[in-house]
Amino acid sequence: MGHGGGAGRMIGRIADRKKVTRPTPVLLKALSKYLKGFVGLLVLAAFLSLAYSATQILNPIILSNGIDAIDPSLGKVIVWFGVTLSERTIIIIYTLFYVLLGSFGFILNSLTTRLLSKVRADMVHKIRKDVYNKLINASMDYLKKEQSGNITARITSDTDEVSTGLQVFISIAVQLFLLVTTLVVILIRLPWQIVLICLGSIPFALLLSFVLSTIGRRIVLGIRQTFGIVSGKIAESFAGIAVSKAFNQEGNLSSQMRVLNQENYKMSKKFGLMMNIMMPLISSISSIVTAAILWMGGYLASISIGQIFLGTILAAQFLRPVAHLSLSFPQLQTSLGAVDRVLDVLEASPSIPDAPDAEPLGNDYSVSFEHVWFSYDNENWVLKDITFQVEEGEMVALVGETGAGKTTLASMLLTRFYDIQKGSIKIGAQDIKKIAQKSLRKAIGLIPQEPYLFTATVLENIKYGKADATDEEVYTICKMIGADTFIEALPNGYQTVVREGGKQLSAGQRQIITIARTMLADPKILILDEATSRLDAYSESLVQVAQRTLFKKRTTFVIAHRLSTIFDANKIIVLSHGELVEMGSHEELIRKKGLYADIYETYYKFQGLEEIDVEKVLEEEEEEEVELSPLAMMEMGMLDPEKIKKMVAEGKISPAMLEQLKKKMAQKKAKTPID
Amino acid sequence: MVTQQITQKKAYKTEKTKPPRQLATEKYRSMNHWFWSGLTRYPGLMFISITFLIINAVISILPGVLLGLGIDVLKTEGYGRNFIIIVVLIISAALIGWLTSFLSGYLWGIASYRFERDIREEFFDVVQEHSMAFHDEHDSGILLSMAMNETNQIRFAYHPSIRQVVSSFLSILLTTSYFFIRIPIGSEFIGVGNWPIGLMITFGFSLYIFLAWVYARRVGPIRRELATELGNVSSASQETFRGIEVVRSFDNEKTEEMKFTQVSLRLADKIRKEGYLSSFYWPALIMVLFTAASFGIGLWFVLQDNGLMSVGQLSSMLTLLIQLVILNFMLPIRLLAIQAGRINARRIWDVMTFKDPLIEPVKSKKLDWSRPLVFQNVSFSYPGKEKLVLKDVSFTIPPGSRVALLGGPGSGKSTILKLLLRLYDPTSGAIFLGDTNLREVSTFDVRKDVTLVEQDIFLFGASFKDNIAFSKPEASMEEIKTAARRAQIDKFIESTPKGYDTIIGERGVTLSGGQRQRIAIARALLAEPKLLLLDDSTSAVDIKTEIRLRLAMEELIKGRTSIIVTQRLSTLVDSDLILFLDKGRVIDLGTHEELLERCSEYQFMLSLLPRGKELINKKKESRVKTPKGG
Repeated sequence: MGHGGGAGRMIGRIADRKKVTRPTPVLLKALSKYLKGFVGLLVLAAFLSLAYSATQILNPIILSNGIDAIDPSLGKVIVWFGVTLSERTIIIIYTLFYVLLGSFGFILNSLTTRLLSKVRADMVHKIRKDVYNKLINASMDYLKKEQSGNITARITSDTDEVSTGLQVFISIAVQLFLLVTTLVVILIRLPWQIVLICLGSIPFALLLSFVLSTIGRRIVLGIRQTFGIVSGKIAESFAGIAVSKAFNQEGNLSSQMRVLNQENYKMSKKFGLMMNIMMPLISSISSIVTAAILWMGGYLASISIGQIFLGTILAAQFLRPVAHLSLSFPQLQTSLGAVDRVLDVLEASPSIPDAPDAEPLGNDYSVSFEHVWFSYDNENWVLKDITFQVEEGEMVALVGETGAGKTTLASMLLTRFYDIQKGSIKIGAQDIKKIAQKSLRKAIGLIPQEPYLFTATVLENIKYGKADATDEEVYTICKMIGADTFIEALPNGYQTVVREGGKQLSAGQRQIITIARTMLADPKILILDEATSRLDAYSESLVQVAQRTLFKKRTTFVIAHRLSTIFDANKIIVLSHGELVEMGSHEELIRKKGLYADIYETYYKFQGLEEIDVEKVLEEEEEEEVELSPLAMMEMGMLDPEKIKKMVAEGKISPAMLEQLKKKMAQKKAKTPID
Repeated sequence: MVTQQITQKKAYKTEKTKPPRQLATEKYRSMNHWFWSGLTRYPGLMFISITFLIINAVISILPGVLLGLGIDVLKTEGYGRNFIIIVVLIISAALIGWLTSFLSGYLWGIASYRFERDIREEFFDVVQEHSMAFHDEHDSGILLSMAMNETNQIRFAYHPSIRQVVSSFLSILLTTSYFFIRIPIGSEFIGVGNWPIGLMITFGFSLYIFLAWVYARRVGPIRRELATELGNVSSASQETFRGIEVVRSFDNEKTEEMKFTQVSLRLADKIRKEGYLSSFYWPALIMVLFTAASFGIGLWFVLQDNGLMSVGQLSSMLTLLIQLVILNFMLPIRLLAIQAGRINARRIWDVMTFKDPLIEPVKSKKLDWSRPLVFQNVSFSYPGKEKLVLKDVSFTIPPGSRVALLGGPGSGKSTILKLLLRLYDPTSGAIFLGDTNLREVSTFDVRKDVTLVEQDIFLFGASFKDNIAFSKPEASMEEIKTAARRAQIDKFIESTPKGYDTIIGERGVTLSGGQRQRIAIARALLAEPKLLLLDDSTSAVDIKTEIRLRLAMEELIKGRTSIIVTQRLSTLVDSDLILFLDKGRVIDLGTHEELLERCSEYQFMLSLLPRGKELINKKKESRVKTPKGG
């Protein structure tokens, strides 16, 4: 079918084999849901393929009959409808028959490919759309656990794999049919000795597929690994190209890359060795079978030349489906794995639905937290019994050490990306669980710490929050917050395309663009997680002035890192280990000499013009804490599932890292019993 | 004597020059020269491989030929010694065929894998050599894909594609010649020896190859479009899910769904089109037609019984033709692969031959850092762009001074740093050190003396030791430790599990912003620069880290000219000169005191700070008292 394939690709797909969590019938049932619209086409395609394989069997029979028909020693006389046909007529008939059958087969095969590509295109699109829509509406919880690369794989390769699986399935059916009919033809038309010879080639085909799916799979995995390492090295070198240039170290990196590249070459060479031993075996074996049939034909003496000819052709045809089939089954397994993963997505929990009695948000934008408890995993409380009240138009600075729960409080709960377990959050008098989320999101603007920009022009990025905004509006906003100067200084001004998340922009510039984006949407409640990488002194003063105008008349929550911000705040909330420990204005809290006063001394004060007493601070110097990455901790045996859970809840392990940890753990488990 | 040795050694080290290395773009004339060099790079391997390929092509048609001979022998002589010999010959041909095929394929494979390895390295080297102008405008993801996947595609064009195409051609050629020759073997003949049939077959195969080529040409472009669309689908979903919080918070799920549906539909459309275009592989029909023709004519000849053709020869003929169908069903794919490989080679070659606006001098002039650094009417726009980022900038920095660079986003601060590193050259005007124009000094020599500590500090996923010694790979452990101590990071490094061998990043220790910056300072210290460029905008740190940083920076600045972009007000106050930029122009240059007095932007900045107003007022008061200023 089609003209694709290649053993290398097949092995590649087998190498992807992963454990399937659902029983096969469940997977097939799920798949059949998607087949519904295509049953007609698929049945037709399957029917056409079968017809095609029939022509493939008939062709050699015609040739063989033709040869025998003109053999005078057989003395056959062919009578059709009472007319004895002359030999010349027979030749013409056979030739015509062959042409017709051959052309017919050609058309059948081509049509099948065509039909299947239509099915494939439509079905993949259908599944892909479903998966995407499901994912984009899935709960934040689910999305945070999966890394974006994995999600993309679900949408692209897995959906593709499902349809390939379907093709493999049809091809298996066809090959099986071909195999069985060939066998039947051989059984009917040829003596049993030749049947035996044909069957004798099966073990070779099985050996072939065994080698490819075991040794071959291992080598392919090895190639992928070394390939990945080289790729990682090159990616790192390109990312750090400015550093290598600044230190004249391009040559050094080149030689490091060469070493890794050589490893990849060695692996590829192994693959070449295996393939070049195994693949030529197919035609050699079929030649040996030819010899054996010829010998048997001569030895038995009762076989006609046509039969010998038929035997050799069919034997060659016999070997292919066997080899094909033995590789197809593991491929089918791979596809079922993909169906399994796609089902995981389709069954993922959706984002929090609106309550049936949900109402749009009113006009009161004060915010209150009442005895709020929250945990990501129902075990480790990230926020404990938080209560406070913020008036409409007030600006609140959230202060506290890393992991105190600032980001969770502002960015995750108020936006209702997650629901709290105990207590209530109210905007005005409305509980946010009873507010239609559309109106809630419209009222709230979120500026995350890591500014995220899409691959689009600066203008489009700013318009993201308000698609119908005019260019003029964008310019006004940018002028207001002082973004216009640097945007206009970009190579193409507002039309400059932001690439790779904004690599051509500084962290501060990215942050300012996201501020512009949020401000254009004109939210009533603003949540700002200040970028930790600070701007230079003058830029910061510009942003500060801009922010003052922006925060006016909006209820604002700022996770503060800048000295200037805490000075501007109406109210400061101090968090520590998930608890609200202090609340009040800067002056009040300083006077209190509590935790805030400490934090102010250590984190904010020196940002200004205050002199630092170096001697005094150095006297009480203590060791810096060493923070190992989760992966390193695991290697040192410092991680157990409990600890991992805790770290995930604390946000110390990213989804990507979790994925790696799981892999490492599985490897460890797999190794221990052997060790 | 010992001291002398050391100084000698040192002198040798500082005299380092750029290692000579010939780049692929210098070695090869054109893309074609480069692409086809795969055939000549390992001539020994290729020669032996091709020899075996030819032997193999001859041997692989033998079983089919011998089959016919066997049939004829059986018919005339019956089951006997000659017949057995033929059977044994077929088996031998099969075995030798396997051996020659293995040798030819494996050797060719080795040469091709080496080629892949080599061109990947060549590409990497050339791209690394390109100036920053190149790296700014090229997506690193695409470059990576070129280095990995596209070189892989080029190798695929060689192994297995080119070899198999050559093999296909050979077998077609040999099969065709079977119809022309007629070699007597005993009482039998090998070969049809019939010119009309031969010519017909020749014509048929020519048509076959032509159509296969047409097919590949037609399907090739659509396959590439397919790949592009698949890439679009992939990046569309990457984008959305990376920024899912943004999508959610602006309630844009529906818009994104619609966008994705469109992209997905376009892909589906291409899949369908590709299927339609590739479904009818006409050469297959040609094959059917002339197998039928040979069959009919062959039967006719046999029937004549005039010795023109035996049943055996007919069988051989048909077997060979059928075998060809089986052998060549991959032909279009192979042709496509060669085509794709050449397109990839073209893309890579275009990237490699990027016309660099930065021109290296033929002979590099010496830099004398005891002379002042002068910007003379420097204007700059990024290559290929019209917009000026620096406009007629002139200033002079005396040797050994500390300069703070100040200005809003887009004022041109970072551009000045890039020009000093000679990552770019000024569009007009010039930068001088004394009388030496920076253009007349090679980038290698400039960067030997100028070191940048950048804002987004980039550390490699390697050990502390390797990261610090990155600027000087031959540095001794002692030197590395000294640098670490001066950068206030030694105690921290020693407290990590493996000390200087601890890996930074995902596989080891996670660093805070302040720690990263101190590693970068240690790295810069080891480079012993004459001019230090520091883009100092660290993430929020606590007071202890702040002090460590200040001490580390003090070490780094000491005893050399430095230009610093900073958010640290203390640095501003301490510097000898402040260069204030706005929208690509210099608006002021002077000391803290001077700026405080006369520069309104500077006053504005300070006024926003606690105690800032006091400071300005104090200044004003003092001016009243001593009118000439302090």
